[in-house]
Amino acid sequence: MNKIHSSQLFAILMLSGAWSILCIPQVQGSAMLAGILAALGIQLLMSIPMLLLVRDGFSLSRTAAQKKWLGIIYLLFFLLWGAVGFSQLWEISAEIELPVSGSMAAAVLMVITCLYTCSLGLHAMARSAPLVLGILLLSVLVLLLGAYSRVDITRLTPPTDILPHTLSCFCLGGELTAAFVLLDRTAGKRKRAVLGYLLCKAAFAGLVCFLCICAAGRLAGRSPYPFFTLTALSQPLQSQRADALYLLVFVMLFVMHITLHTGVIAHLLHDMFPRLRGAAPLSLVAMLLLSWGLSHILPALVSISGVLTILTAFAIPLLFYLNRRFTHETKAPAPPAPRTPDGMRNGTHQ
Amino acid sequence: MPEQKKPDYYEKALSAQLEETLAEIRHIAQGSSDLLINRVTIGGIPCALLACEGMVGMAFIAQLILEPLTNLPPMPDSDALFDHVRNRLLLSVDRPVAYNYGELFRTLNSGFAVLLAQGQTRAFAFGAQGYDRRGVGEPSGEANVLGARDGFVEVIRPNMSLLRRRMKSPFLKLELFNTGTVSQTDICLCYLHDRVPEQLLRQIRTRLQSTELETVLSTGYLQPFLENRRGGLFDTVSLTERPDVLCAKLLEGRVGILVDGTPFAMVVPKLFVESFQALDDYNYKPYYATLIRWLKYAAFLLALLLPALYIAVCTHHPELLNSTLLLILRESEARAPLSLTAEAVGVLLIYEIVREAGLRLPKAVGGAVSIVAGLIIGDAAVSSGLISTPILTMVAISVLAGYVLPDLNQAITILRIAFILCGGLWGLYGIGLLGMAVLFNLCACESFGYPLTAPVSPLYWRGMRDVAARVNFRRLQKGHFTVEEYHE
Repeated sequence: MNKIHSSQLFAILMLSGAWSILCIPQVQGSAMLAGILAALGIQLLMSIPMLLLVRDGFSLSRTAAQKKWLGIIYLLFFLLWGAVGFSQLWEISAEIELPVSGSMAAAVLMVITCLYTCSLGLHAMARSAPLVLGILLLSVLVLLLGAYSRVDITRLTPPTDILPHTLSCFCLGGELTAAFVLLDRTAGKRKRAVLGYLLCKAAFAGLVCFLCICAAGRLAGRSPYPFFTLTALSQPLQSQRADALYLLVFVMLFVMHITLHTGVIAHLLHDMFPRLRGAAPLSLVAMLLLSWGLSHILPALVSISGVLTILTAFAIPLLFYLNRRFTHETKAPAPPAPRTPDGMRNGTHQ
Repeated sequence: MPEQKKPDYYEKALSAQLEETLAEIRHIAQGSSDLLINRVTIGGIPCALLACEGMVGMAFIAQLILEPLTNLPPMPDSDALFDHVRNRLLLSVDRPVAYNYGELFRTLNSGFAVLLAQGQTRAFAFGAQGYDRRGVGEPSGEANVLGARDGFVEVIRPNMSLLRRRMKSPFLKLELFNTGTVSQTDICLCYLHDRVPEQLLRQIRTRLQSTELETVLSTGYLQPFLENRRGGLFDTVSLTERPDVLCAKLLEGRVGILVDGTPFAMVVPKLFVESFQALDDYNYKPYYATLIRWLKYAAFLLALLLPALYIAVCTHHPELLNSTLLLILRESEARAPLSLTAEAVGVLLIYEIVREAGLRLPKAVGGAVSIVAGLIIGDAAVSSGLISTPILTMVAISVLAGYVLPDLNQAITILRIAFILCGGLWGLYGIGLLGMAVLFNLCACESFGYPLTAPVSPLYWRGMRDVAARVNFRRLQKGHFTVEEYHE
């Protein structure tokens, strides 16, 4: 079977989305929480044309093989999205002090690992995703056990000025585009996988923001990447810290995130240029170089990727969908061929 | 179906002239001392009875073959003689006919007595095996408390009978063929033909018959041909020494492969979770079997990760330790001259040397290994301060945990060292990266289209009743599960 199951697609998207949640730079009050939920609501609506298009049998990879310009737009998006991921890794590694000599070394190790994971193919990623999702759920449970005693609901104030947070959170939602690429290679309930991903991501994001606001309090608004501050404060046991678990989860999520985007690039390149070899290494190196060159403008990169998300996950699918509907509705039925005297139509006996 | 290249003499037909045939046999065998050629006149026809010394039962041949043959009345020709022997005398139950030198030597070297006659281009073989073989006894590995005590032996026919005795279904099919251009080793495909997927069977047959091996002396020769992917850390073919385990797997629609000369049977397809299952699990109460199952999962993680996590935390993340533990470990490690990573790798390598020495040494000297290992490594090294006690304790626990899963011993040994190196160099970050690489490697493995990680991933809820727990047999037997459900 060349297809992955819809539950595996859900797990892949959820893990990549969880990485984005972990990389939220600041949580300033409940406006952030409302902004995340609003952004995911917008993405839910944006996913409708894409789902309708795939339901009608559309395949992005086959279309990109014929219309190279389309494939190049998506390739650029995934390259940029991967570069954003590496930039986030560099910034976070400085905050949480990874035991590696330098951020570049951490990135290189990650690239080597992702090179290997990408070489094993889509099925390896699809099968490992549910297992990693299980570990993520376990870590969420541990986080809840640790943070429960620190939660102070009075810290949750009514949100004000949601729009900037909505826009910033929206820009962290590149998984929809990856879903669009992978949907034609997914069997089972595809619509449920995508909608389930959006709802679960909303739940996870809401939980993390809620805990950051109510358990970490003012620290969440002041410290960068408040998720890690939250984990440092939320220890379930007095005798033993649980930070190790979150560091492992952090690494796992990033590997899945980069493997997803590199795998999708390799998948598109394989269909567009069948003779091209080494698509995965080339794309990983390109992501690394792009992030290294543009890391100083990370906020701008994130904004650009947000715009590209609208283009790749909504605008292009909508255009293709309308084009298909329009072409189907305006196409008049062919008139019947004239009958010949002996009753044969078009040379065939009727 | 692709066939193996055979030696030149294999397809050469037997001659009608007895002398010519015997000369050719002597030429092919190059005067081998164990080839016995007995000329005898049977029914007035010059004949020869061939056997391999030590392979046949002499008393059996003398009483049950030679005596009836030599008492035959005169025959008009060799056709009449062979017709009489074939259709009117039941000299043995197994009576193949050889038409060429290849088949003749294969039957001769399998312990058959072969009868040649003047004027015949065929040879009759009679099953008269009498070679020495090990008796059916308890298997050396796969020990159990409540299960049977018999295991496979090196000879394939008794192994087939062990299966047949347990599975009296007529659907059990035992398909014999041979492989190895020189060794002509007997291989037996075992399956229940009402349950096995036809495609699986076809693929296995094609793989086995396309092997270009000169000899097959153990399952390890064939195993690479049955595995799908190079570079996989975990086996996708399982081995068992127990006929009851093989029968249980045949019931699930799998295929067993017996190899003559080895007491192990291969089973395909394999699932990773089987490495944590034992026959005793199905003899215990479900709650106890479930506890043991989860202990094994924990043992796997301990065996793989305990030393690496200890080294990573002590070297790179000491803030994760509580203050009391930190002080104890600090005091213990202060005197050790080497780094934690070097100590751990050194202890593991020494353990592997001791283990290998214990396996290879004669039993009379084997006791010395335990004394040397226990005194020198366990006591003197720690007392002198070369190795710290905590690291020795972690490695010992890890090694003990690995003993719980002998099936995964190869992968655990290598990965344990790899995790230690990654943990020592890059802390938990390195362990996380290597862990993901290993997870992907495991998930990429499949056995004839069956993912190694099924039924966990892809998730099959029905399969989890024997993975997450061991439910009682009333529920386990429902639904007539076959492994075909996991095929992708």
